Amino acid sequence: MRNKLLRVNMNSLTTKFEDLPKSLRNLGGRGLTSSIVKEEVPPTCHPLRSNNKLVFAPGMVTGTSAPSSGRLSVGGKSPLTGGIKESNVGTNFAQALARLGVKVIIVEGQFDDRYKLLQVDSEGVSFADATPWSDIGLYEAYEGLRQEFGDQVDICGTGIVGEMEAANSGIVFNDPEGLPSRYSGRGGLGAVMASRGLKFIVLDDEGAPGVDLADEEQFRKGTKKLTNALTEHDVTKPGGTLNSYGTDAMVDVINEAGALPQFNFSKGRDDRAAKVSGEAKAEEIKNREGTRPHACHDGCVIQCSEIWTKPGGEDPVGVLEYESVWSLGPNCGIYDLDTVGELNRACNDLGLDTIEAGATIAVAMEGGLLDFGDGTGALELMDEIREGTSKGRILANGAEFAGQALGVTRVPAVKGQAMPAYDPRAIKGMGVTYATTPMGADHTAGYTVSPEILSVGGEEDPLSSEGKSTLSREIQYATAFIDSTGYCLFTTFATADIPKGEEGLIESVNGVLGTDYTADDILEIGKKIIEKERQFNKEAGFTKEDDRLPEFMVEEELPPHDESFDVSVEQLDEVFET
Amino acid sequence: MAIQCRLYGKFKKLASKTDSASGTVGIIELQEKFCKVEDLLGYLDLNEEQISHIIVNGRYVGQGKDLEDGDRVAIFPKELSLLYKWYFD
Ligand code: SF4
Repeated sequence: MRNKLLRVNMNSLTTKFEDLPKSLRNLGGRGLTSSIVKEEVPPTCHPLRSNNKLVFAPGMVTGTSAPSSGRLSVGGKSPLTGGIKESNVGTNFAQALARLGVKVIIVEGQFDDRYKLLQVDSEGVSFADATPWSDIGLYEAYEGLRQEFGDQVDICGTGIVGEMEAANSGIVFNDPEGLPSRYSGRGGLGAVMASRGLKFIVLDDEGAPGVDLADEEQFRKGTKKLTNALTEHDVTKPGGTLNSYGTDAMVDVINEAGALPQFNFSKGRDDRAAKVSGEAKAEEIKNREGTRPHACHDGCVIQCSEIWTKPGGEDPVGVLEYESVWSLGPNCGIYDLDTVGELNRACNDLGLDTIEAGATIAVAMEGGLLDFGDGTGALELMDEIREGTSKGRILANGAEFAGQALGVTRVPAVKGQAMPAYDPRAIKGMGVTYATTPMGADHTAGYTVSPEILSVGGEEDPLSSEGKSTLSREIQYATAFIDSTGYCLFTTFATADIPKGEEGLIESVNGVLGTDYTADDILEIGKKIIEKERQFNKEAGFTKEDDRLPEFMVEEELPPHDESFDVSVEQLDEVFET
Repeated sequence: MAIQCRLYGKFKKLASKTDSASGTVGIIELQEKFCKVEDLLGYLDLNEEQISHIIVNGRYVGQGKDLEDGDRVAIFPKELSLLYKWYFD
């Protein structure tokens, strides 16, 4: 059983292995999920009814010994944006699925008598009743599932907010310790999963056949070069930035650059932000004897992750990423790591995407439900969500929905999805990406922050609107390729600067697939993926008017730079009109 | 008016005090006159090799940047580097 497509029909509770069609064989991750969603999901369907499908696909090299390659894409039509969605996660689940010979799982139809659990192992596929682990928090559920199925299994599932079929529900994967802390968070795919009647997938890869290598020598040569680059580069090496401080190292830099959105995108810099920086957090983790560094999956050489705990090392939460710390912290006027940690724990437990959850709380603060900076109040809102009160259900549907309910006009969202931790008025290229990616506001879709803020020369002025269309387009194409390989996006810090690393990355892909891609093919492969995604959105009813930032960002200036978003609509439309 | 120098990571040790808002950033208030960022670095005895990036008044700058009274200068060490260099090759 290798290179298989596993089709799971929830209407009849049947499963079948199919040969992957030739046209899909060289794809992986995002390329695979987006191609299948485009092919099989009617763009105008209701995301929570039976015509939508949920697609899981590990990357091209995932499941091999390639470094930092345990990534998986989940795709479907998003209940948050109404468009196509690919949400990417790093987890051992990705590797286990690939080693089981499954290139893609397509979950279709709906099982009405909820909930089922799907088990996949080297013997085959079966369903089990998921009721004992439904309607409870995911920390308890994952512990229970590991007791039932063994510590070695990998799990993905959807939480209480998924069961509510709320638009801010992610799909949650285990970290190597079994904590429900690795997320395909964005776009509400947890609700798509729950609405199929599927609550969990449990994998056991013992005795799995592993991933075929078309050209082992090429693969080994490539992964060696890539590993060398990753262990050499200041950002990715052992003891380097990501390894020492995690993604949260961004807090201080972006705050100094005046681009860290705070108090619901009202200001870009506040000196209190350093209280929740990667540096402050790493020090505190050391004090508490938590874990840092840590890998989100076995075989990551960068290891940007960690395990945050309560004081005294109690009650592990999992990683506190930059985006989560920012959204649940400074964006809500909260500058306290313990409060942020507990809010993040609530998100993990309920199955909420942290970026959307923090943005929603900040909108609720602006709407007068509670004061900015009120951490206790924010935790109480999480309880309302858990209890499924009317208020809780409104908040579980994301920032835009909450904004409408509360009469808030300053909602930082594009295509219904809340913005991450870079204010587009201070980093213009990021605004171009937020506006134009088919995903809704998404920083990973085209991370222009690197050349705008983080480059050595600083030739790209983050406050200028010049040239940002081309910059965003090229990075979006390159990203769509990386999201398909199964490599973590953070490998690009090293491959971007060290040519041999990039060469190695491509060789490793060729070694697995038997292709002869060169660096010149990357943008073309990415372009094809984005074209499919844009076509889906077009058929779902999106127009270029949806490729815009919220009005308040065009009209209101952001201190300290006092800049508004002044990239013209012509420049935005030019991104994909090539 | 002085120049406020904000030191991150291990550079924090160069400062005798931390900022009041967060208590974690090293702060040096300099009354001396510095023409350029490189002069300031010389004064702090820091060389290019140790530095990842410098942000003056919210803008990423090179070492040749002119300094003025009232400037806010943030200096990040190598181990806080988050760089892509290839865009400018
Ligand atoms: S660098 Fe971080 S996010 Fe990427 S694969 Fe490694 S641990 Fe996971």
